[in-house]
Amino acid sequence: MNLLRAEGLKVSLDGMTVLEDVSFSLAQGEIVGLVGPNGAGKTTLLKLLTGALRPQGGRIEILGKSDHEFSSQSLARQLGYLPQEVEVYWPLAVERIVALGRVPHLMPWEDLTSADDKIIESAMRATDTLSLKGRRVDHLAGGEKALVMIARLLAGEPKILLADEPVQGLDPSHALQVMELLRSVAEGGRGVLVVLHDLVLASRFCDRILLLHRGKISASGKPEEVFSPENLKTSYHIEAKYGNGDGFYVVPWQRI
Amino acid sequence: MKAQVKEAPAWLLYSVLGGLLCAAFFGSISVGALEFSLFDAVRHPSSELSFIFWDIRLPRAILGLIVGATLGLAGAAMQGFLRNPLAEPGILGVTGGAALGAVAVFYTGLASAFPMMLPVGGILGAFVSVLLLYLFAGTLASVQTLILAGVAINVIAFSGTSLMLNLVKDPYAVLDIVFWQMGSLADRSFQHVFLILPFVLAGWCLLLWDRRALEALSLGEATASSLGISLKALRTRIILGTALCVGSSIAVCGSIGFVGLIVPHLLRPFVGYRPGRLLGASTLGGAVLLLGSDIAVRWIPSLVELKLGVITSLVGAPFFLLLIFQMRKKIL
Repeated sequence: MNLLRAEGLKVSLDGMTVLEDVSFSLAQGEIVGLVGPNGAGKTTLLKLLTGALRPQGGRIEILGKSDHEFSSQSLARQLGYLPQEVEVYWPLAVERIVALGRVPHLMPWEDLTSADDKIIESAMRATDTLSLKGRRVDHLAGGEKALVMIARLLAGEPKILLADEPVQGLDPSHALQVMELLRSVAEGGRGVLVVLHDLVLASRFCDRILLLHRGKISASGKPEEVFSPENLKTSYHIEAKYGNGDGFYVVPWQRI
Repeated sequence: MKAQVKEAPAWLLYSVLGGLLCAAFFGSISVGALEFSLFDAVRHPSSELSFIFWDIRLPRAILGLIVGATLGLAGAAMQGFLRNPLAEPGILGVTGGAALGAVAVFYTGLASAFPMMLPVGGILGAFVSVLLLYLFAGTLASVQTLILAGVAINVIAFSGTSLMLNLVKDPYAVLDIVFWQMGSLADRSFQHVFLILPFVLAGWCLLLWDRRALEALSLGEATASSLGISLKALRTRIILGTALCVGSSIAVCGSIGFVGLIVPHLLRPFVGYRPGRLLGASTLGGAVLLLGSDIAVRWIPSLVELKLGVITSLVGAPFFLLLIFQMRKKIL
C-alpha cells in the first residue's frame, strides 16, 4: 500500500527552480533512500512533504488523501520528520525530548497520560536509550543524541518517517545502529524516506533509491540500478567500486 | 554542571510557590506606615482603618500580584519563544514602549478624560515594541543581536518619552510623569485593578496557551512545525499576549523591570529547564518577587518611600550583568 505519493512537484525559490517534476511514492514496509549531491534539493523536498513549504505545482497524497485535507496537527500524527542536525536550545532531560514526539496527539491543555508514557518508554527501548533517562541532552555524545532524536520520532508513532541525514557525524557503529533501527521500523509496517550522503549505507540498507540531481529525479529504483557507473558519473562525477558478497554495495572510489 | 536533570514534583513546586505567594500577599496587606490588626479593619467597616485596608492596602497587594505574575509570565514566555535566557520585557524594550504609550496618553490629556485609554496606550506601545523587536531580531537572533535590538527600542522609547516631557509646560506634570515612570504600586485603587484586569487576563490566556508549543520549540522551528505547531499562530499569540498583559500593567504601575529576567532564571532548574512548565511557575514566582519587593520598599527606612521600579532595577541590573558574565563564552 502506498503511504506517500508525490506527483510533478515543482518549487522555485527567489526565481530559481529548486525542484522540477518530482514524482515518487513510498510504500508500507520499505525504506527509500534520497540521495544526490549537495544542493540537489533533498531538504527542500522533505520540507514540501512536511508541509513547511508549499509547492508551486504538483500534488502530494498522504495515505491516499491529498495533503490539503490534513490539518497541520493531523498531518504531524501521520508523518514524522527528523531534521538535519537538531539543535536543542534548553538542557532538557532525555525523556522530555522523547516525550515531545507525543505533541501532535495532545491538545494544548492535555497532559501526557499513562498510555503516552508507555509509548515513550517503548520508543526509548527500541532505540536503546532507556539507560539515558534523566541525562541532560547537552551532555550526550553525538551517537547518543542521534538515537534520542530517533526515539522522539518514533514516540509520535507516525506511519511515514522522514529523516534528513540521520547518520551525519556518527561513528560507523552508531551509523549502522541508526540504519538498522530505521530498517526494522520499516519492516514493522511503516514507510521510511531517508536522506543519505553515505552511498555505502544507502546501497546496503535501502530498498529503493531516488537520485536527485539539479532538482530532478534523475534515476530511481533498486540500489544496483540507480548506482550505475553512468549515474554516479553524471551526478557526482565519481567512480565507484562495487561489492556483491552479502548483498549489493557501492563504495565511492575516486573523482573523475 | 550536573549531567542529570532533576525536576521538582509538581505538587511540591506549586505548594512552595503557592505558600510563598500567600505569605507575600499577607505581608503586603499587613505592612505600611500604620500598624493595625487586619481583623479589626475588616470588623469595623466604617472605621478609618477599614478604609486604609480596603482602599489602599488591598488594591496595592492585588495589583502587585497581577503585575508581578504578568512580568514573570511574560519573561518566561519571551525566553521560551526567543530561546534565549536574556529575553525580558524590560531589557528588550517592551516595558519602555509601554511606558511611552502611557506617557503619550498622559501628555495628550486622554488619561483624565478616558481612563480606559491608559492601558490601551500602554498596550499599543508594548505591541509596537514587540513587533519591532521581532522585525529587528527575528526569533533566532544571537544574544548580541537581541540585546542590541532591545537597546535600540529602549533608546527610541526613551527619546519619545523625553520629547513629550520636554513639551509639557507644567513643571508639576513633568514631575508627576517622572515619578510615575520609576514604577510603583503606591496610591493605586481598585479602579486601576479593574481597568487592567480584562487585558491582563486575555494576555495570560494567550501566553499560557503556548505551554506545549514552547516546549516543542526547544528542538527548533523545523521540528516544532513538523510536530503540528503553527509557528505563525504561536508568534501572533506571544506578541499579542505580551503586549496585552505587559502593556496594561506598565500603564498603571510605571516601569518595573527585571522581574521577568530574575524569576524564570531562578526557577528554570526546578522545572527541568522546560520552557512550557516554566510559564506557570514563573507566573507565581513573579507575583511573589514583586509583592516581596513592594514590602521591602515600605520596610526600608528612607525619607520618602522608595519606588518599586528602582528597587527591582537595583537588584536586577547586577543580576543581568552576572548572567551576561556567565554567558560570555557564548557571546564572544
